[in-house]
Amino acid sequence: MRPILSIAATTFRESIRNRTVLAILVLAAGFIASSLLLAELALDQRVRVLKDWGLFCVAAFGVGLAILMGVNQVHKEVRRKTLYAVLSRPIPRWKYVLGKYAGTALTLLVEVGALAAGLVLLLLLEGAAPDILLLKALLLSLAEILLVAALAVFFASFSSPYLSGFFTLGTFLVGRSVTVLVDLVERIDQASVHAVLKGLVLALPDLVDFNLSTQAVHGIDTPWATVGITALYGLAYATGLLFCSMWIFSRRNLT
Amino acid sequence: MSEAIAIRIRDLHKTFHLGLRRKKVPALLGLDLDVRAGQVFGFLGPNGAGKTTAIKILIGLLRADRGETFLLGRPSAHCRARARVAYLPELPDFYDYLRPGEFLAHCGRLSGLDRDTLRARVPALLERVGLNPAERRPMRKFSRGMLQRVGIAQALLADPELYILDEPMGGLDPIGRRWIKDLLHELGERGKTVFFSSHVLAEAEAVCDEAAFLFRGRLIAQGSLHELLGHEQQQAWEVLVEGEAVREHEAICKLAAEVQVAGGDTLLVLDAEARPEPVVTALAQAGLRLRSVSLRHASLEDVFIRRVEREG
Ligand SMILES: Nc1ncnc2c1ncn2[C@@H]1O[C@H](COP(=O)(O)OP(=O)(O)O)[C@@H](O)[C@H]1O
Ligand SMILES: [Mg+2]
Repeated sequence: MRPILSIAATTFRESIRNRTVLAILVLAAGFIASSLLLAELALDQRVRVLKDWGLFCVAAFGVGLAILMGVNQVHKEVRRKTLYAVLSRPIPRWKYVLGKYAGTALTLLVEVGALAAGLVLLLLLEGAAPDILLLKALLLSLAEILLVAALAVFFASFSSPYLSGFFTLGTFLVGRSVTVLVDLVERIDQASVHAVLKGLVLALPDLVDFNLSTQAVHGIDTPWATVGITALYGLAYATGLLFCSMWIFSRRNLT
Repeated sequence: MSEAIAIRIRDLHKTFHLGLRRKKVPALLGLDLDVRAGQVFGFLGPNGAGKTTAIKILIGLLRADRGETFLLGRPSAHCRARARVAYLPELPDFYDYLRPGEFLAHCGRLSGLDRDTLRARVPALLERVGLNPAERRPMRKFSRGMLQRVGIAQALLADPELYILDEPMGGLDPIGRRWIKDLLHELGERGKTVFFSSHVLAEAEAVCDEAAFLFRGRLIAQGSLHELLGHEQQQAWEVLVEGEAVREHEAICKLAAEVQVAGGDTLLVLDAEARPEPVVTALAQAGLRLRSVSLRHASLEDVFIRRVEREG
């Protein structure tokens, strides 16, 4: 356990001090604040616009950071050989992968938390009390971001940095529109093709339920049970991805 | 087994595949090697010989295509095999934003050192490798030589039995290289096994008890320094004569195995068995002035070049 914690803590330290990531965070905060300008145009819809745009920024920047860090964490260490000093010690590689993910997840938690806090602060300044619906939306957004980070680590465990970034982004976009794909597949008549495509679609992460921004903006409640099930689904999916990453990474040649 | 073997390599093969067309780059072609415990062992050879590849397989970073490797009696693919082993990578690089002390503490935790040990050992090590003035700086601001020193520090950290060092003198200035030589010597004195690679034979010669030459993925010689230097070439006398006039004296030149002109003077290299006295006498009779008479020792470099020539 101690090696995993140490790897996680080191990863956290290294990425929380990273200048590029810091710059992206500042940019994200600027974007969230820019909704004040948009809100000016919206007149009576001010708070809705703030919430809508704010949740979008948190999700977009969070996913962006998750891809950047998840992919980079692994590749940078392989390319610059920083992991040689780590993996030459008596620890199995799966602990390294797990520690890396834990550290990345912790960093994302802090960073997305900071953005969410910024959004809440902005709403308070506007005189709108942040409600439980917003909290639910933010929680599932965070769960989605952590799932995307696991996707990034998974792709990075066997493909090049650009490819893994591309694959992760692609899977995320497709995952957000899985329902559309399901509809398309259902229309296919040929049984064998239908079965294969359906299998593929089922293997993709279903990210549709993670997006509660419409509900939060229009005040439609989602029961905690649904939120919990979606979060559990994310946890299970991320765990599966991590197991695959550990398995692949343990067999890799590190040159 | 009468003597403990620290490193055992049997029939090691590794080929890299480059690019989409999977162009073959053979790196190791059947390497066999035994390193006895307690030796300072030089793993020598030119750039591209396959030293780093062999070391990475030993540490478990690369998988061999064929063959077996053991560290302190354990198959080296097992992570337990690395418990009492330290590794210094070639041209090491570490985290950008971490300070050296934080990094060493991390390494120590991975090696299973407890908190109190680390608290005592990390500052002492930083001091020892001369990095305490840079203690508070993030490592991305470190020079090549400073990174090499961090690398040495992380290798020394857990005080293991076996040190596997890939080009330990790389990136260091002359004072740093001197320091590494002393360090390797000291580790040897303390009964540790040191296996280090180097492409600078002259520097390796000063520290190792035994050496192996790797050339294009194969071992072309192995033995104690004494054996390697002794068998290969006996010592020969060299007589340095002022000016180039001696070249006109055919009788004198015939006494030498080789006549070389160097910096306006002439060097007569005698046969391995020949004594220098007759040459000196002949020179005196011819009225030529002597600059020096010396016994030349074979160096590892000579031995290596000869072996390579023999291999073709
Ligand atoms: N990652 C790699 N991909 C392709 N070829 C490699 C790789 N690493 C090493 N090689 C090749 O393997 C051979 C041995 O290299 P190396 O072990 O680094 O030699 P040395 O450490 O003795 O200088 C060289 O021909 C080198 O080009
Ligand atoms: Mg090398």
